[in-house]
Amino acid sequence: MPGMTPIRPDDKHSARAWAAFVADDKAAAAPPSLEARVLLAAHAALAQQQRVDAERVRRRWFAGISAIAASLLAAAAWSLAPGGMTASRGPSAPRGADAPPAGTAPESSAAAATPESSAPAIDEPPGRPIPMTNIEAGRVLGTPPLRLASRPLFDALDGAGPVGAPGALRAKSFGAPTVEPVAVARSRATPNATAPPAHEAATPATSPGALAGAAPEAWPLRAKPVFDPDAVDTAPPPPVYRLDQATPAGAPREDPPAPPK
Amino acid sequence: MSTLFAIRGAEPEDVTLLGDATRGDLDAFATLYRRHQQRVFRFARAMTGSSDAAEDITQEVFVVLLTDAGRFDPARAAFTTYVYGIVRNLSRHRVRRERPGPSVDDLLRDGRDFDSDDDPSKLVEGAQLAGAVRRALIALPSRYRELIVLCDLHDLSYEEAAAVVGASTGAVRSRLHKGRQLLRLRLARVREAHQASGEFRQVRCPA
Repeated sequence: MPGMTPIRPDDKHSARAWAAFVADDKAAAAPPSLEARVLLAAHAALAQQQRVDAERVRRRWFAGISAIAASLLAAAAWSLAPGGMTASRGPSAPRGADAPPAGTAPESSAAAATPESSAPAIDEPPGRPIPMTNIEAGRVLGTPPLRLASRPLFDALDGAGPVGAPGALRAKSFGAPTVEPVAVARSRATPNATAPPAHEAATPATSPGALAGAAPEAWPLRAKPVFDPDAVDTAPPPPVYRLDQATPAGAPREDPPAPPK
Repeated sequence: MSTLFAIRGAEPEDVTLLGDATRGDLDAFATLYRRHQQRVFRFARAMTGSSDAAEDITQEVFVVLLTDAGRFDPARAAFTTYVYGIVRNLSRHRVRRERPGPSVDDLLRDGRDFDSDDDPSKLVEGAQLAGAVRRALIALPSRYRELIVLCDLHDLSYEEAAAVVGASTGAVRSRLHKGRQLLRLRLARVREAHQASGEFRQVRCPA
């Protein structure tokens, strides 16, 4: 039960001490000077709290005003920029309204919208790029984005065939005279041309290809053949060494000296 | 229980005074202070064992009451319970920050306070006895000490003490029982130390 002494009554010494403690505690009181101290501290705390509240309100007000001013400045800067909002959106906005629906044929839309749509974009002042989305770019180009992305690089219907490799596989041996690709084309185009190529005149007449005389005139020969089997020197084969022989295996054996007769 | 009803009867008025004080009415705040200062000071003094610390805590409690008045919810607890809770928290922080409390050796040395042969007056003896009990109380763990002070000195009910310390009523009963046992044990040790020091002095004095 609350209010009861925690000391057993049979313990007289402890009970007496507890009673003295309770009496001392009941008589305890804060000093009178504490009231003025507490009131002064409370007054200071109230003033501080009022200052903090006022500062918080002032900061909120300034934050709101700053946000509004920043929004107004941004809008003004955007509208006063070179090109402006209407000029930058000019090519796409009316075209978006006049753009054909997604189900129309791309050829007709490309033929109808491409020349007119590219003209104002070209006349745009160069100082500012035109912001466009891919949808807008597709409308300007007269091609839907999907068609634009799936269009092949080389359209065979336009007459532009695939570009061939710069060089073909060599069909001749290295010993045969090499033919320049340009000369081949010209020779095929004019096999019986009367005027020889310019570089043929510069070819010396004493070249081995010219001495052979097998090549036609349109097939100029190089001044020096790439490979001439006749001109190759027959060098001795390199010696092959074997483990069980001190001398190379490929080396010609010397006949022992004949015994004296 | 009469104290409880008196406290509960003063609740609306305390709340009104607190509202006026937060709006800058220092007279209302002074009235509130005079009404609760002794309770606050006694509880803080019993928890810390120091009058100076109790004065500081009293000042801090009323400043917190004024600045954090919005945290008081009359639907959750009584105003007195709220004040006791503030005192308890501040006292625990103060004790934890300054000193951990006297050890058993300190209590044994305090047994000399019972040796009142030099001063036979009962007033001094009572003060010494009260000091010995206070030191024994301070030596208790705070979870037991606060309940002994609240229930045995301030006559709070188990429910009110449970609301102050934030525990259930069963926990309050259990802790109070354990705290009382520990307090009796420590007081018995102090008495034995006093008796031993008295016998030792009787031996040494003739020489």
